[in-house]
Amino acid sequence: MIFKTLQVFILATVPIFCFSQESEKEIGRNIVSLYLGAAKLHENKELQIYVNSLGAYLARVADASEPYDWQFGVMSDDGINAFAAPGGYILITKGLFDLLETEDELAFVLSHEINHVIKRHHIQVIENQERMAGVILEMQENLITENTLLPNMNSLFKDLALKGLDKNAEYESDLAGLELSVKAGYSSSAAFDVLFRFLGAQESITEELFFKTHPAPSERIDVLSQHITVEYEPLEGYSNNSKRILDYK
Amino acid sequence: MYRLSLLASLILVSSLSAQGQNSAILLTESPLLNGPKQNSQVVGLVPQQSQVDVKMRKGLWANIEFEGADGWVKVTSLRFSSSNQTSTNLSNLNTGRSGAGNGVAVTGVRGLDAEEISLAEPSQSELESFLSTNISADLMASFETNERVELNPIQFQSQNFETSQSRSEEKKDLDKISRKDRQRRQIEDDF
Repeated sequence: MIFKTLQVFILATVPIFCFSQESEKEIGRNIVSLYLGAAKLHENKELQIYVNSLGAYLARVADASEPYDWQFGVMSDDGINAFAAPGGYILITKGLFDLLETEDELAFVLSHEINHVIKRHHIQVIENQERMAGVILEMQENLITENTLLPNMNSLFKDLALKGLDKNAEYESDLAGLELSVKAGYSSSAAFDVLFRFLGAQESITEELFFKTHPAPSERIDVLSQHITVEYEPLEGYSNNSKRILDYK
Repeated sequence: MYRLSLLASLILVSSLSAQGQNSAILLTESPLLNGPKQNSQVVGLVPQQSQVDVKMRKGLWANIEFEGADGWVKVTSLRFSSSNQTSTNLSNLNTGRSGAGNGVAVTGVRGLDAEEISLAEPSQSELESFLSTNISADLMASFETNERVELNPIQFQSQNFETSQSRSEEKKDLDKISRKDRQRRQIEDDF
């Protein structure tokens, strides 16, 4: 009894379960198929190509081609939201796209989501949860494989969407989003443009799921202000094709 | 006539109060500039920790009012998320660079809610459409003309904001820990 208790304790406290890169992509695809089951892709193919192309460019600037299958899309949802899934799959809602006024702002939003993927924020949440589930399976069947768990994770994926990530993951991604989008040639003001726009939107639609799963926009603005360096101040200028986004509205 | 003017003044003051002012705290002592540019003329000095009224924003600059003085400071020198914040009417700060005051009409619009996500079923066909979206060679070529810059990495410092949201998240964590403890005890009991 004591030996078994110790075995449980040891197994629960060491990282016993890490997904392979291919499994992370499969997890990501599963998550995307769920989100798209809730709200389909927007019918505007040109819009999809535009967002996907900008995302691909930003991923290239981030020097993050491997091991991800970068793919970006727009869901036909009038609300404000964005989802990043392991493996490099990113969705934003039409409502969020319509909120944005410049390509610089879109670049910031996509860069924020790219950071969630690169830093494996969602995978870390999943792995932490699977640690206990893995222990239970280990004890019951003395066998655990990725194939055993993946088909049973839909409720876990939905949980992720409803609870959101740790607040620091969001703040960190704001900073990384600012950094990547500016490196890619976009305005350092765009991050503030987006967050102040969220602040204004929140006053009208306080019940939006997006605002329940993210830190308050005012907090995000303050954290960004706290970290931004003087290096960014002369980089306020908007990109040459800043207003191109209006062609897709 | 004097009595009427006084009454009119009182009504005017009360209506301004009813509108509410956007307030923020100035984190560091800052020069007050007469324009949203670094080389604008200095028209005053605002002490550290002053509560200021924020009238509008242009890019990284905010137009503020402090003790009757009007001018510009950097947005990054202001703190907006204060528990003493009495006004939430900050929507006019989303004016961006143009300052045109273009509000976004999102009143009454709601997106996917928790129930819809909970009930969602995977869609293989939508997934395949998503994965098959191409990129545009013309757009990619156009992106490559952006003025790219090299920057020093920003070092992130973990935050510990004390807000109602963080308190509710702490409760969720505690609930999760309780569930895990119960599972662990169940395993121990089984063996």
